[in-house]
This record gives sequence, structure tokens and C-alpha cells, in this order.
Amino acid sequence: MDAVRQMMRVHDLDALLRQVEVASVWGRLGYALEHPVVLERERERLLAGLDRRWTTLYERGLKRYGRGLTPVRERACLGCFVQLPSSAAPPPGECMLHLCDSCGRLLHWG
Amino acid sequence: MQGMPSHTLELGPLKWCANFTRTLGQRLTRFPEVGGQRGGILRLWREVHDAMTIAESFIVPHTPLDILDVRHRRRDSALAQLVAVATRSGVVRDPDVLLDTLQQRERMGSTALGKGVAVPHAHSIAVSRTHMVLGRSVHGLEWRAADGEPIRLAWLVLTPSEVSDEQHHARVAQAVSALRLQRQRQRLFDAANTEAAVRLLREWNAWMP
Repeated sequence: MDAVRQMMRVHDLDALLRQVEVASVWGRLGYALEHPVVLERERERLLAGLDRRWTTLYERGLKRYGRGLTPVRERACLGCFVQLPSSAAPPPGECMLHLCDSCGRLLHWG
Repeated sequence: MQGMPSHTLELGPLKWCANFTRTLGQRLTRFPEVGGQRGGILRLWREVHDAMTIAESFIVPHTPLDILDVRHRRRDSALAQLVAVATRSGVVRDPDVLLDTLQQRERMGSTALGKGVAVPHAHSIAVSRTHMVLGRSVHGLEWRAADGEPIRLAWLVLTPSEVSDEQHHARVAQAVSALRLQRQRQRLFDAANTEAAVRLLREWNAWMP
């Protein structure tokens, strides 16, 4: 599994774990959320397989903004909405992790 | 916004204006002599407006709802079919990651709400636009519902990660509320196509495009 997909999975697991924090809100809709030990283990497993540099930056973004990874649309970071330089874009067909110079979140060029 | 063609509202007024201003600026830089002439800017303005109107008339309006008849009996296969339909609609960045997220969500607790209804949902970075897929099953799906009933309606709600948690919750809540009453579930199940389903949802104030 490549680093980008792995990081996307970690990001989505964090979104699920946030839902557990407000389990009572989801409970009102009829959902029963159990303790997510399995998800936490899976998250740790995924993070262990990633480069330390990316995990540190991801955790920092997560702590600061609540989200460590953000998509890019039309060369704008969807975390801080700053236009990114064209030099920051990966070559066509490639998908790599980058860092937003403005907000410090990891970028996903999808 | 005067003079803005109605179908360009699909782009959103802000984006339309940004595109328009950028294109006009490019034309002015490229043809400074026209901009300097009497009425030149107005001519360029009309030219850009007409060009954008023609270009945007080819944009297919995005209806954020798909309906399909689920062929499978098992939950994971049904989820894969729902994700495949969303992928065909062009709203999924990475179907594998999305499917994995939906399966992880099921591990946290079933999204089957009882009475033959399931509302699986994902607030995922693998999704690029808000979208919903309504899966119908005549035979019923095995979804591990608390009441043990097979699922006849599985409504997948997809929200991109840039949208707030509250908005994602609101969308799921609307889907859940639209499926509360038996007669509404039956009418959705019998809806002939997407347009008919959207009409019903609008009628019940459960439509949030």
C-alpha cells in the first residue's frame, strides 16, 4: 500500500474516531457505536508503516486543526484555501504527499 | 449577477465570477490595444461572456443521488456495488479507501437501523463531492441488523472531508428521517427513477443537494 493511500486511511479512521467521541449524538439517530479498540489498533498499524516525517506532520496538523490531511482542488489547499504554487503540484499521473506552506497540513492532490 | 445564464449556477456564482474575471484579465493582457479602444473593454466583456456561456452549456448538471437495484445478498458486496455506482458518478477519489472506510465503520457498529433500513455513511477524504446512493433489494440484504430483519433499502451518504462533521451528521440525519415512516420507505422503494425519488425527498423536505 502506498503512503498516500495509507495516510488517507488514517485520516478516515480519525474521522470515525471523532464520531465515537460524540456517540450520543449519533445514538439519537439510532446508531450504536461501540468502543473502537479495533480501529485504534488499525490506526497504529497504519501509522507504523509510514515515514516518521509524515506521521509527525500529520499528527501536528491533527492536533492544531482537527485534520492532518487535506485535499487540493484547483491548486487550492482546502484546509486554508490558499492558492498553491504550480511547482508544488506533483507530475501528472503521480500522487504524492506534500505539505501546505501556508497552514502546515499534509496535502492530497487527488 | 445580471446576465449570468441560469445553468451556470451549477458552477456556483462565486466560481463563475472568478472564472469570468480571470478570463477577462487574460484577454486584456493579451489584447491591450483592444482594451484601449473606445468600447473595447465592453466588446471583450461580451466575448468572454458568450464564450463561457457556450462552454458551460456542455456541463452535465450533477444530481447527487443515484438509485440502483442491489444484486448481492451480503453486506460487503452490496457496499462495493454502492461504491462502484458512486465512482461512476465521478465523486470518489479512491474507491478502495472509501470501501475500506465503510467497512471499518461497520466494524464500529452496524449501520442498519432496523425495519429493513440501513444508512451507511462516510465522511471521507476519498470523496470529492457530496453524494447519495440509494440501493434497493427485493430479496433483502444480510446487514446484521439489531432486529434481524433483512435490509431492503440501503442509503449510502457520502460527504467529502472538507465539509464539517456537523454537516455530515445533518445529511445522515435527513436520510434517516426520510426513512422513518413505512409509507415513505415504500414510496422510495417503488420510485421509478432518480427524478421520482428526488421529487419525493423534496416533498418531505429531506433533500439537501
